[in-house]
Amino acid sequence: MDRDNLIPIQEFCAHYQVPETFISSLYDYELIEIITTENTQCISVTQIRNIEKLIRFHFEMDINLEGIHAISNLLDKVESLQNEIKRLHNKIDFYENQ
Amino acid sequence: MSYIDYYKILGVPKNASEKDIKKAYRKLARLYHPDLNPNDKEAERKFKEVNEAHEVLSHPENRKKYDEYGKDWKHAEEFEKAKQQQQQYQGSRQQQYHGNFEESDFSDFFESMFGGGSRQHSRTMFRGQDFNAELQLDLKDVFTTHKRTLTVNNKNIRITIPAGVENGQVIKIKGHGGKGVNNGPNGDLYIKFNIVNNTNFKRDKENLYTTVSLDLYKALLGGDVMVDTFDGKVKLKVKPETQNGTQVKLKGKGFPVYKKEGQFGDLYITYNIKTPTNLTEKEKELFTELSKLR
Repeated sequence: MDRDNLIPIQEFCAHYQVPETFISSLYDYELIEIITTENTQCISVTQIRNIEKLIRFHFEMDINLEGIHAISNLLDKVESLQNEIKRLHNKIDFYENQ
Repeated sequence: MSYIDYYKILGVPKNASEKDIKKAYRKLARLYHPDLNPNDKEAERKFKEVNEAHEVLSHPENRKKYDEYGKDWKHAEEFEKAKQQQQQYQGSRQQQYHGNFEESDFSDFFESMFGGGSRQHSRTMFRGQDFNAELQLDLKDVFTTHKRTLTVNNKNIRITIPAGVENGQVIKIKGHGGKGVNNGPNGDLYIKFNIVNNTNFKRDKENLYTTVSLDLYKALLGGDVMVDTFDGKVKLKVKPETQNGTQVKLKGKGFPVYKKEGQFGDLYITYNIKTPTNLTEKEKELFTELSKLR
């Protein structure tokens, strides 16, 4: 992976003022991916948006990690259902306009 | 502009303690926070109400002002003047929730009583706000990948619209949302495509469907017919004794597959056989003769 797109966890945590153990826990719950390069643990910039959301869940909404894990799975399902609804709407339009 | 009962919104009595208010707020925020309710405008609206109620009731000075003048908000300005003579409140702000939603949407009632200046955040917001936009395109526009210039917040952005984009599909343009705070990254721009189909083709993902009229004689005896596809005409062989409603597939003559360059869906053609009308006496005679052969 391109190193320019990786942020060391230490740097990320300092910036967002969150403990590094929180990021490790997210990894343990398979909620994020950690990439190790040259003995430094990093996260990809593409994950920032998701991690910001997880930070809000935990530090602003007082949701524990088990809750975040459950919510993340449910949100994935919501997204997939919303996509399915969009697809079905398009299909309905297809038949209604015939 | 009407009075807003912030106590009712949070579901707490007028004598609720700060702890009760915070508890009620967190409970409601967990219900309506946009992070937990993606693409739910109603939840977003409710969350803004809850956020606004908390903004007022969690702040002792704001709460006092609201309790005294809330129902008679027009007199709030007099209160402001009186307040200026008093020592300015220096207390710390309660924590507010953040997220990828427009926090600026406070009600007119709130703006009237507290103005814009009462909003401060104890935590730094790092990422800019995401913007949402809608773009209407014709089906023909999305048959090929093309570039288009959009104006978002007085800035021109040139975007590439990949061929095969679907109606209702949303694409993200990274970094073209609101400006980040404290050198934080900018938000993203989300563009939803509304694709209008004014063609004779129906689309289902990458496949196209159309109906072609055939005259009776061609349907019975076979022959060639010129058919419109999305990118031009093709000559098609019609088999003898083709039945009404027969569907034929033209492989690769459908719509481009999204983000798979060079790949196309199929075009399905349904034959609609037109029987002749206004028959002459001679034709009637010949058809009668034909019917006797069967």
